[in-house]
Amino acid sequence: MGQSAISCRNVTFRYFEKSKPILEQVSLELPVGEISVLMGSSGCGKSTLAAVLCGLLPENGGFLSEGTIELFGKPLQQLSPVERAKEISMMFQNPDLQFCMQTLRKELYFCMENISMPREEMKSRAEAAARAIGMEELLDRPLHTLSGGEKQRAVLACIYLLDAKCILLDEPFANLDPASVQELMALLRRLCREQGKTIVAIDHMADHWMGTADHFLLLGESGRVLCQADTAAEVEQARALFRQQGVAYPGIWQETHIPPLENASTGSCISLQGLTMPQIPQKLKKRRKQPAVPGKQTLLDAGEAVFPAGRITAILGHSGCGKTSLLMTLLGQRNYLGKIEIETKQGRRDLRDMRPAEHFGTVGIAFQNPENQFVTQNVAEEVADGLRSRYPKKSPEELHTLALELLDSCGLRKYQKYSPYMLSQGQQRRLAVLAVLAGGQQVLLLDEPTYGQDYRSARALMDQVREQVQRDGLTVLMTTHDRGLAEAYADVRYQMHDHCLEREVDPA
Amino acid sequence: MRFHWLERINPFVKAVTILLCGIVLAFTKSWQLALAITVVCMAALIVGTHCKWSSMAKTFGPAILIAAAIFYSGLVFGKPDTGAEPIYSASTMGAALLMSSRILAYVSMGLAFALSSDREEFVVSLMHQAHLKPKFAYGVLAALHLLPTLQREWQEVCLAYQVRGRKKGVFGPLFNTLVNSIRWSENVAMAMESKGFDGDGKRTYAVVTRVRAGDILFVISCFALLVIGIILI
Repeated sequence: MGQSAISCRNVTFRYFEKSKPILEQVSLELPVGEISVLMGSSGCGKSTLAAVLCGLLPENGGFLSEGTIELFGKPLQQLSPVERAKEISMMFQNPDLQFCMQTLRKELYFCMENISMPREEMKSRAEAAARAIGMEELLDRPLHTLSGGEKQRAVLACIYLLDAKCILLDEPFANLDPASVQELMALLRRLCREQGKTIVAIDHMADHWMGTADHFLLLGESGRVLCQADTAAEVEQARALFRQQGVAYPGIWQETHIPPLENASTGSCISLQGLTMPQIPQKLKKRRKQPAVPGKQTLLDAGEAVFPAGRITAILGHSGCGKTSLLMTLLGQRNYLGKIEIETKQGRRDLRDMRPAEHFGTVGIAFQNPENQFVTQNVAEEVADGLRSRYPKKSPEELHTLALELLDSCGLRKYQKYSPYMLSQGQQRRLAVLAVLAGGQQVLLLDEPTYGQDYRSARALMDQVREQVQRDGLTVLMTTHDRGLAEAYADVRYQMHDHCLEREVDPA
Repeated sequence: MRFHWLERINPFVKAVTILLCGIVLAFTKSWQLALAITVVCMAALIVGTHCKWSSMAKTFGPAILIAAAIFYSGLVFGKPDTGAEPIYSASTMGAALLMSSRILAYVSMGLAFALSSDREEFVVSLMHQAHLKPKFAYGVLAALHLLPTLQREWQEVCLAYQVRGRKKGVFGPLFNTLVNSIRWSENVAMAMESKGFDGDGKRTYAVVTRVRAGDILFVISCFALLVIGIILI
C-alpha cells in the first residue's frame, strides 16, 4: 500500500459553535500517485471535506472539534500556507472566482511570488507551465474573456507551476461541455501517470471518470465513507447504494424511464426562420445598440428550428457556441437577422412586434445562477409576486394562500418564512422556476437547469417542470451539457455547433 | 510632441507630491496661482503622457461647468448684507474667482495623477514604497478584477426584474449583487490561499518599483515651482 497521500481520522467539523456538525467522525485514506473520486449527494459535506483536507478550513471559518489530518505523513496544522501549497493545491467549482490577477501570465507570477521564487526565473517558468498545459496563446488575454474550459485549464497551469504533490478538484467539470472535459481529463491523466501526482476529485457524476479513476468512494451523511469501489465491476455492484443516496452512477440516465407526455402537441410554439445571430463583442454598453450586420462573425447562420408547443426541447452544444445567446435573443436582449415567431395568447406574433410587457408575459426564464433572480426576501412573497402580475385583481391574502399552495406542490412549504438565499441551490432553482411560472407564461426558458445538482435534485426539478408541461401545456426550452438528461426528459433535441442548429433525429 | 516622462515616475511618489501640493494650495489666497497650477498640470498631462483627449474631457468638462456655476453664485450672491460686517475683505469678484479656480486646480492635479498612472503599478508601489501589507494590496487587485464579472451579474439581475415585470428601484438589484459579492470574496480568498498566498509572509516580487533619480527630480521641481508661484503670483 505504501504511504497515504491524505489520511484523516475522526474528523469532526462544524461551521458554528452550536450547530450540527457538517462532518462527523470522517476517516479516510487516499493512496499516493493514484486518482481517487469522492462522490455523494448534495449536502453530504463533500466540498467542506475538500476544504478541510486542504487546510483552507478552519482557517477561513468554522471549528474543527476533533480529528487529525496528515498530508504525506506531515500533520496539516503544522504547515504554513506556503508549505501547504507544496503538498496540496485545489481547483474549485466556479471558474470565474479563482483568479486575482488580470491575465494568466500575471496569475502565474503571483503563484511564483507566493512560493518565493527568484524574479529572474519567473518569465521562463511561466511560459513553460503554459506550454505544458497548452495555454501559451492565452497567456496575455484578460481572464474574464476566456471560456469556462479555458479558465479551468488556466487554473491547472497554476497548479502545475506550484508543483504540489497532490491536486484536489472540487467539481471541476460542473460547467464544462464534454469536449472540454475530455481535454482536462487527458491532462490530469498525464499529470498522474507521468509525474506521479496524486489526484483527488469530488464529482457528482461518475461517467467522466470511468477508465481514468483508480478508486471511487461514496460518501454518505456527515461525510462518512459508505463504500469504496476500485474497479468498474465493483461500481456496478454498488449501484443500489448509489441510487439510494441519490448519486448518479454511469448509465443512470439511460435507465431512467420517464413516461411520455399524454396530451397532444398543439403545433409549433416558437419558430426560427433564417435566424442569424451576430457575435457581438463583450462590451456590454454597446450590446443593444449594435445592429445585426450580415457578413461579420456570427454565432448562428440562417438557423431554422421549430420548438413544439406543450413539449420540452433541449439544445445541446459545447461552451461558447451560443446557447445562452440564443435564449437571450428569444428574450429580445440581442439583435438578430431573420424571423422569430412566437405563439401567444393573441395568436402568432413576430418577436420584433412585441412590446416588452407582452413579451415577458409570454416568455419566462430561469437563469443558471438562481440567486440572481430573487426580487424579495421571503420565499412565499417571491411566489406571490409572480402571481400578482397574473391576477391583478386578487387581494394580498388570496395571493398568499395561492402561493402557499404552489409551494406545497413542490415540497417547499415549510420554508415559507425563510429568505430565498438560505435555501440550498437545488431548492433555490425550484423556487426560481416556481416564481417565474406563477406569472402564467406559456414559454419557459431554462439555462442549464441541472448545473451543480446531484441526480436526486435534478430529477425533482425536472419532474416539477414536466408536471407543469403536462398540466398547463407549457412549452419548455432548455440548454444543457448533460446528454443523459436531455435524452431522458426532452421530447425534441437540437444540437448547436459550427454556426448551425441541427435537429437530432433518433435512430428508428 | 508627446512623451512618457510623467508616466514613468513612481506612482506613490507622484501621489504624495500632488497631495502635499494640494494641502499647500489650500492655504494660499491667490486665484492666479490656482489657475497657473491648472495650466501647468494640464500641460504636463498633454506633454508628459499619451492619455486620450476623451479621458481628459470626460472629467475636465464637467469640472469647468461646476467651476463656472460656483463662480456665478459667488459673484452674484456673495454680496454682504448692507450694514452687516463683510466676512471676506476681498471683493465678491475676487472671492468668486478664488473658489472656482481652486476647483479647477484640484481637479487638474487629480487628473494629472489618475491619467498618468497604471492602477496595478500604483498598488505595487504602495507595497514597496509605502510598505502596505500584501494582503491589502492583492485584495484590492482581486476586487478590481472581479468588477467585469460583477457587471455581468448586475445585468442579469436587472433583466430578471424586467422579466418579472417589477420596477428596479435603487435597492433591488443592489441586494442581489451584495449577496453575490460576499459569497465571491470568500471564494476568491480561498482560491488565493490555496495558491500559497500568505497575507503577511515572506514573498518575492515579479515587479519591483523603485525610487529613482528622476522621481527625486520630479519632487524637487514640483515644490520649487510651487514656491516660485507663491512668491511671484
